[in-house]
Amino acid sequence: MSLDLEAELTKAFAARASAVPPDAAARLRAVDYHPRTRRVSPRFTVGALTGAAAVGTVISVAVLGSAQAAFAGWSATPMPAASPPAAANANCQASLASMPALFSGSNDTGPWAPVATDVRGPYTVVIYQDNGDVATCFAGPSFTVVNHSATSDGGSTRQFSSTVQRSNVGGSGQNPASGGGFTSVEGGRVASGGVQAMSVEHFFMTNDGPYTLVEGQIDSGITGVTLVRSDGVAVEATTAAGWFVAWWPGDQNVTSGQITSASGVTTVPLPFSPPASAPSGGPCTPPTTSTVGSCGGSTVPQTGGSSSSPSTNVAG
Amino acid sequence: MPRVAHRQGRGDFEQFVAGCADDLLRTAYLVVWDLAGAEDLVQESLFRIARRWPRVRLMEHPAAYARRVLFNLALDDAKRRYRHRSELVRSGPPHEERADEAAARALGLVEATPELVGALAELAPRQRATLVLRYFEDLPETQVAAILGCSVGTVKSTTSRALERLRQKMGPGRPENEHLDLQPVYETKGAQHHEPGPGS
Repeated sequence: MSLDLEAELTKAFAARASAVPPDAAARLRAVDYHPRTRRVSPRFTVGALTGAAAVGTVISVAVLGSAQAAFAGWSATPMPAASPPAAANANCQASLASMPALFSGSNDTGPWAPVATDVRGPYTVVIYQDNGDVATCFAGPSFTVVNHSATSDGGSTRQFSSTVQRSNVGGSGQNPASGGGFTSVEGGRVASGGVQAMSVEHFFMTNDGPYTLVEGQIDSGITGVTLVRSDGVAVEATTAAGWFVAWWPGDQNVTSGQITSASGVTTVPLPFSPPASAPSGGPCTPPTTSTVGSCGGSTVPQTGGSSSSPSTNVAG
Repeated sequence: MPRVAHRQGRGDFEQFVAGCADDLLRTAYLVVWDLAGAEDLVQESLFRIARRWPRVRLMEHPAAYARRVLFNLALDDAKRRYRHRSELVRSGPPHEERADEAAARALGLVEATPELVGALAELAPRQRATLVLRYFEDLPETQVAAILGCSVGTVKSTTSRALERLRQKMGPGRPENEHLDLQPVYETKGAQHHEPGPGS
């Protein structure tokens, strides 16, 4: 090995490296690398309960077609469904499959097994599990929203989230841009009277308007959960496998819950405060080759608490 | 509080990018030998790191992880391009000076012999990556092996072959059609290149 050649090599590399124009690095520094998403997921609570050390969340939105009437067909009582409708399940599984792994070597690669299915008209909410990981999918005629949380072993608790926008999954005449925006703000979480953990999240679909998703875990003896909204309307939740889930059009919060068990029905307060402010969002840049879209949404000011801190999540 | 930690993480990442973007770009430029390609490579690397930043930031050396991501992406991309590049080489000159190289030369920034620069451009990407890590980054062979995901022995042999190749190309007895032989020294057995996980 020639020392002269090695010395020349070092010199040649240094010279070439010095030819990199400063504005090139400036361009790189100016890029916003953050997928602007923040959403505290109820799975964080679940993860903490199960001893998980790290949790990540990915939210995926797939817009499958043009808009239709805002959540038409919704009902306060869910339709019986032991398993997800095939179309909804296919869309949800496709969204889950297209998501990047949250952690290297994580077990969040599927298959995802549905554990609770809530059907109201043409809309289906499915809670999926894959080992310790949990995903919630909200599938409608024109969109699919998936929220995926993963856990990994580690020494400390860490959280992160990112937004993944899936492009149109096929079919001529479908326009993903026509209904592709959503915003979410978490209303808060609570545990009370047989409800181990519950989260209320407010979403806003560009074409369908606002909706509120409530999900959580319940004690094994609980056979039914009915949520009483701030406007007095009672919405029966779907309960299965220790989970309950319900949703409704609009942004009403939950004030109390009627919990059914073998001993009867108990009404428990579920005090949630409304979001600090209405979410606002900005346009998202198209997904990069890594499929992560960068969004220009604003973040609701932090309240400092982990149980009631609202956040904004925009994808479009 | 988790949210506070998250926000601190964002701030950390911005500081990280500010501190390492220049170094990563210079290294990428030497590996891919093309400024636009180097920018794309660094940008993609930082996107990937951003997604995993809450874990990466807890590492002892986040910059080392960034370098691993960058090199793995570069070599994976080089593999994809190899076939196309071979076709181009067969139909063109071994190395044509690009605009950025010409500008650097005009500014007197490139003092090395043109023969060496041309010979470096013709090395297989993995060979050049190994030389960059050894002679530009000045890393020991153990660290080079860790970054490239191979054994120290492979680093030694790749370095040796690359240097020998440079000598041949710069020497007086260089065959006229040597540039057609661009078979990269990829490890075809065992080592597969994957983006390193933050925990690795």
